[in-house]
Amino acid sequence: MKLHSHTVLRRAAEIGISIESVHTAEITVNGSRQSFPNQALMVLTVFAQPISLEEGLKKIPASGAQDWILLTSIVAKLQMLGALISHEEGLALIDKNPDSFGSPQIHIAMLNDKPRTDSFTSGLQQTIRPGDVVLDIGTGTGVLAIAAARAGAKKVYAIEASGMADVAQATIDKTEVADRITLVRGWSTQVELPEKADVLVSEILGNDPFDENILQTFRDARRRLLHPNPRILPENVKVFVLPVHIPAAILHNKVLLPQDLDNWQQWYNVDFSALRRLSADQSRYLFRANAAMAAQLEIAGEPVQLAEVDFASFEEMSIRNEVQVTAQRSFNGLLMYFESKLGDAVLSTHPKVAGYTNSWVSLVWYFPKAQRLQAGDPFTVSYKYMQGNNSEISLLIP
Amino acid sequence: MNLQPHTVLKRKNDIGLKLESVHRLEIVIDKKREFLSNHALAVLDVFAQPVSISDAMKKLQTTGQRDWMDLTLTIHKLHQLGALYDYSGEEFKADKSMASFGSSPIHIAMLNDKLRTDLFVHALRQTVGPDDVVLDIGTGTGVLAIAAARAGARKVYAVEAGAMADVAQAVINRTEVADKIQIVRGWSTQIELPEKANVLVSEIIGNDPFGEKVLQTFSDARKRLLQPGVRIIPPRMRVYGIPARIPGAILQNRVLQQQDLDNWQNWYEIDFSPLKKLIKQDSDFFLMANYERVQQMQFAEEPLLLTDVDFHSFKTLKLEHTAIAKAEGPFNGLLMYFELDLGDAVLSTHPRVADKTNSWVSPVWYLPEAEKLQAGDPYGIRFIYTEALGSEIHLVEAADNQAAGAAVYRNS
Repeated sequence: MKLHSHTVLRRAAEIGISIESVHTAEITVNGSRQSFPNQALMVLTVFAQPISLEEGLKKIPASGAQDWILLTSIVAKLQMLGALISHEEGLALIDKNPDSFGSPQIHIAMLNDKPRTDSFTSGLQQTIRPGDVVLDIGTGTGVLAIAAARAGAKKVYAIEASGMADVAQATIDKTEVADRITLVRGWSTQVELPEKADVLVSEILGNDPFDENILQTFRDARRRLLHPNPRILPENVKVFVLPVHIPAAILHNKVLLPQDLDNWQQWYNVDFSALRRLSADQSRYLFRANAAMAAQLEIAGEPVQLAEVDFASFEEMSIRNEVQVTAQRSFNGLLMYFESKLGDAVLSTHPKVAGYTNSWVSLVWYFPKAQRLQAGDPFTVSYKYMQGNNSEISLLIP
Repeated sequence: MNLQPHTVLKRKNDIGLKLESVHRLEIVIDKKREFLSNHALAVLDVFAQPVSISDAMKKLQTTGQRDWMDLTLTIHKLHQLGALYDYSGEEFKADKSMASFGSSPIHIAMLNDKLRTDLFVHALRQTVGPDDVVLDIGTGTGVLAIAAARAGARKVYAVEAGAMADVAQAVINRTEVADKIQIVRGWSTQIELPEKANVLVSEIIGNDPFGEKVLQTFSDARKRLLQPGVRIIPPRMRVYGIPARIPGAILQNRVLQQQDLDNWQNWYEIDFSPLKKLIKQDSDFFLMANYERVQQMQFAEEPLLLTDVDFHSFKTLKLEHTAIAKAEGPFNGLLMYFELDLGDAVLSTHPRVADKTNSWVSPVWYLPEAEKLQAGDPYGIRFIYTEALGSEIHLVEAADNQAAGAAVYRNS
């Protein structure tokens, strides 16, 4: 493909970068790798959103013609490598990483999570009125767009930025409601629609419910793509943590346990206590528990609600909260889950409620100090979400 | 350490980044992962050269990167992670923010893998003699450097690029052989040593055995850091593939099965067969099998030898071999494991030999075409290793006469 100044490029969804030295970064795309001058990082930043070559280059400071030539050549090389793709071409690419949304695996798991899909579908049936225009952000396989059309929507705009858009189109084409669904390729924050919608449905709740940027996406949609007082599904999200006891078998080889140091002293005749300095950073989750692993955690208290966002009315993009709790018994971890209201149904990722079909994994924080808590002891859970970051949790014991 | 506007920070080398989506960046440092927002890339770019935070902010703001608050938070977070460090002129200075790197689970798991460590120590005892100079590449916690010194080495150079170097130094300082061991911070391919070593010990065998660049590292060390006639531990590695049956429970949600399409038709009244087009059900898919997953799989009796590398003499950084065998029956996957010669012992990650303490996980390729093979059918497994793509496995067709010859080769 030939590059023109008006060619719209964007960054490929899956790029590996290894910063090797001061001057070079090695970039890997689909298994091919190449070394680039350092400025390639800035180029990739600018092309995170689709932008024309001309506009993109304007955003990067160039000190003189030499610099500009270098930048242009970096863009050309990145495009040849596949790290920058033409906007149209990119939509046909499927990401191979199973955790990314362009990859089929996550969609298989989501469709297999029948309670998830059913609660959205029943929410749509209760919410949609004849004549409604519905917006589905991140339609994926198209399942919710089809459900919205079947629930009586006059028109459904289904937005999808990844290569799954092709699957969604083919799937929609085989249904009886194909003529009422328009697939819009791109990111919702970048698209324009011919009309505003009455209903927004969107399942972009992450494992950390905010980590797929639901707040930014919904606020932008309310401002630009929806009528005033839209009906939104899910209606809200409530974030909880659950005190849990993480058994030693799960902690083994994830954190340094006292028994480890004793064993190593005995086996190798070496004192490895210096490893203690690298103790886990407790503001970050220690591991992601799938349903099978979550089932091995012992629940050690009532859920603690940390945040609640009403999607129709929220304005704040950051959340901070501190909750005082009375311990019911000792524990050593907090597991995060969420609940969302969908019509008269509530979708919950609580491990006991969601069970083995849960397509979300639970984030688990490790707080060894909570082991000394006894029934009746007070503690405080502090919660922080900052736009663009992940949820942070800390535990304060007086 | 408190960050001030005049604090000069610099980007650490050896940071892995993955662009996950438009908004999100995954950063891997010292085997810890963290998600950051997109503008972290621009921040890392600016700090390629040492620069004060206030100067960096000016540069970033002229490029239209978000607002001041976001940038400050990102710089702070990258500093906490260790991706940006306080710069005082030394390239391999220890990161002060080390304590926030988090525990290093991989080092804990490796020390808990007693068999692994014991066999390396055993090999060192059989190999190292007085006056030997030993090079330990990727010393980690320092355990093998200490063992080399205890085995009688005159001098041990222990190379470590990660923040673990500080831990290794502290651990070594508490031993009786501290005066014989010198920590060298950096990557072995970028350092110089005051003398050449006559023994190399290095446990940089990855899950994909070649994934930690053992070939590239050893080849460089042989050229620059080792004497002719060097003894290498391990001297030799054999990599095998063993046909496996991956059960449906593991395939569930990883590959599209007809049962999925039937269920969805039934549940949602939608024909999702267009998904099939997207899912190339071939060797693209693989998973890393830990002990629990390995227990759920069944394996053939006979493994196929994919490559046999002599670390003293190998010449090329690319490996390619097609192993031919006769199927024992249908299978649907191939698990890769390896054997290391360590003194007169052999360390094996064979799925029926390695136990729970095995600190490696084994790559498994999904080969649905192999379901069609019947007992006695000839087939081939093509193994390719390149630096760019790592190890690759492909199922290939083979003729009867090739398979007969292959059996003789394997038994000899």
